[in-house]
Amino acid sequence: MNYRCLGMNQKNTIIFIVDDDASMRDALSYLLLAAGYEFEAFSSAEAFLERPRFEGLGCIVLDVLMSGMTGLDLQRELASAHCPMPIIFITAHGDIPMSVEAMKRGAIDFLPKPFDDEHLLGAIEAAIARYRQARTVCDETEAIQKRIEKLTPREYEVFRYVITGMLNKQIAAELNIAEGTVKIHRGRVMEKLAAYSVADLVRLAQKTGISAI
Amino acid sequence: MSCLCRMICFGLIGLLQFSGVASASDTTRAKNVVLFFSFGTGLPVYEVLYQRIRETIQRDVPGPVNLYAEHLDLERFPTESYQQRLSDLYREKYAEKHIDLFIRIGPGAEKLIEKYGKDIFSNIPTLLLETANPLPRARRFEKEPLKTGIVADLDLGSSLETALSLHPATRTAFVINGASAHDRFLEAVARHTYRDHEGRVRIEYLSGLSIQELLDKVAVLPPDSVVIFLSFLCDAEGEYVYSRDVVRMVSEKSNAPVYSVLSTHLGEGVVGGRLLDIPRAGDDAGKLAVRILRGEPVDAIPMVRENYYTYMFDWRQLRRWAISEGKLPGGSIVLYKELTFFEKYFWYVIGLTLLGIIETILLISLMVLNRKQKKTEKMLLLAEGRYREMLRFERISRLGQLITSLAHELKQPLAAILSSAQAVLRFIKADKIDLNLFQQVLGNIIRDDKRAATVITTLQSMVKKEERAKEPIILNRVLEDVAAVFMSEAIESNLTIEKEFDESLPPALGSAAQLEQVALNLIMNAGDALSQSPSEKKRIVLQTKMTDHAVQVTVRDFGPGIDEAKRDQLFLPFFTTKKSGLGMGLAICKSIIAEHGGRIWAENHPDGGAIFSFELPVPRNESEEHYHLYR
Repeated sequence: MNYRCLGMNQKNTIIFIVDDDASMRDALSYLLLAAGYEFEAFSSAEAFLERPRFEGLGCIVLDVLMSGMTGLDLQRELASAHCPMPIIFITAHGDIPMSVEAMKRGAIDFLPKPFDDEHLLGAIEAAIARYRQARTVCDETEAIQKRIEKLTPREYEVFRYVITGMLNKQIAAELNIAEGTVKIHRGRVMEKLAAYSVADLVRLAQKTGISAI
Repeated sequence: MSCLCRMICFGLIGLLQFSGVASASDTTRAKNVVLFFSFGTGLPVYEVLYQRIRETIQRDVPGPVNLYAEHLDLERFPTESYQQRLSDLYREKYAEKHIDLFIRIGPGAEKLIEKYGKDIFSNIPTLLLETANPLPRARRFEKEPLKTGIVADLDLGSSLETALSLHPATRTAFVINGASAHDRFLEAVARHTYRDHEGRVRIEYLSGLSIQELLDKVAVLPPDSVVIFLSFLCDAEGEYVYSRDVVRMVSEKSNAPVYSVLSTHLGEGVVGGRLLDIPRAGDDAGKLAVRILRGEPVDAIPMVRENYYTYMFDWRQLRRWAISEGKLPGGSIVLYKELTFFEKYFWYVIGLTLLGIIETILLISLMVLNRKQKKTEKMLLLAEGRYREMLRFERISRLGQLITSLAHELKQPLAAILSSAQAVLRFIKADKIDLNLFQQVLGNIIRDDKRAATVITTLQSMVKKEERAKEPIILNRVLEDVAAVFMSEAIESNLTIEKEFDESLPPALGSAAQLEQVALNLIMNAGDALSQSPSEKKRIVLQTKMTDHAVQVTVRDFGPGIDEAKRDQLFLPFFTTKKSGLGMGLAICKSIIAEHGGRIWAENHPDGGAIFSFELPVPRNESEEHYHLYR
């Protein structure tokens, strides 16, 4: 039911086909084969979910209407994960409300069957490109997050005061500690987060969604 | 007969004087009873009498009783010296015996005692058994000391009367009689008695004939004759016979019905008549004997004058002469009745008849059931056909309208074909020629193409059904049919479907199949809405009514009702409140109703539950006409 083929032009990239129609799976497989993609095909959303998480690049070519879990269900399920893989919906049912909902949730494209190979392959390329970009951001954020996690609670506190633009003196007053102590904490924060200026700290905070106190 | 006649006709008169004072010691020893029969042995009358007397005595008298029966046979041996010597014999025979009772039967014994043996059994209680002599100047039996008895009436007239009443057309009555003294006596009585009848019928006496002559005569009696058989102990040639044998032969030969006067003749071929009942006379004599033997003073017992005649008939002879039982005199006893098949096997017949009836009923009910079953099966087949058709529509509608569904079915293979073909093109462009792979891909393309063609064929057949022209539809009937189709599911889900139909509903123009689809959809939705309801609320009310130039159908359930916020979206495609549903049902309903020029809407009932209604216009001008045509 799911088979895999090594393509030539994309290293460490897999296209996942999820469609309950066997003909459709076969046809998509030929197409991806011809286009030189590595791919795996699944006959249901459930079967796909059973596969161990793939850490490389790729996208999912997903049929909307399937018996059991639908394409939209799978999209919802995957959205909760960190940095989800992009999805290209294909459907023979295509109607506007469904496609709108799918797109709102971040689908790359919504292709009504039958579609042209160029449309699909274009969408796949776009998806991979976007995913690569997203992955960079994700990776950076992840790195920052890891660094932030190394801060002590006091350092974290000081970090959040610093990004408000407060001076050491003001922070010391707020925390009711010696100004010299604040200075030491700030230095450790800069060091742990690999920042060279307050502006760096603010950017890091924004990327990880940390707000000022 | 002859025996009887004798005994009865000539009363025995005891001449003996009685001594009979029973001492106390008498009760301990055996009692001795002597019976004198006037005629010889073997006469049926005597046999019956003796048997009855003996049985009564033995039954009712305590202690042993010896009976000594003497047959004097005076009819056949009438000489004086015989009587003299006979008397001497008895005198000597019983000299030493203590006799307790002396019973004399018939007239001869009396004469003998009177003439030769006054001293025999004198002073012994005596019981007489006689028949009264109806002739003028005949001797009357009177009570004498130590003597009592029974005097039986002699009635020869009643039998003739009976014969005449049963055969009203009779012109001649032939009276048959023998030549013995007793026979002649009876003939005398008969002639005396029958004088009174001679005005009504000719009486002819066949007496003084030999048996052969007699039989020849009775075989050729003129029409409208009856025969009265009296007694025949001796024929004209002096041959002694038994009456019973003669009566049998006469009855057999006679071409006219034979009547008798004596009960012992019954069963020998006579029709019957008013007959002297010998057994009853014997019983009465026995009872008197018992009273005497038990010590009752003889002089305290008066002479009894009794009529022992009874109307008795032989059922077989009644049949032979075609005499209806209904015509017999009241109180008649009919003997020798041969049970008819029905009478013999009454209970078998009843049983068999009942069995037959039950079987017939069973058969009929089976046939009725069978017919009903066939009818039901037919209806079931029809209903099933409709159900399948509706289900098919329903299934399609649930997948998303007929076209949507088929489009999907078509797009799927088309998409696969397109992608496969383009894949091959790409391989060729990239100069990657793998013929094995191409063969595989082409095979898939062909497969998918065929699949698409099948979808189109299906579509065509469906479209044909869809295109049926609109016809006048009575919505009541549509609801009835749909409700019938839904019934099994309703039963399974414990749903009650109530119908409130306006019977005067005019027809609306439409497609029955489509309207059935709408109705089925609404009813199934109502059923779904009730799935979690308590059983008393599992009700669906179907209603039809006439509004202003429109006919309206409402389907009401008693479920949770409609979420007011979502009411406006109910009829939109892909809107559903069900877990498994495409949300196409009501959208299709709306499109069907709209196509019919009607409208469909939903609301909540103030008392709870949802109401789905649709109305269809009724053509103004034609409504009346259709009303009559299609009701």
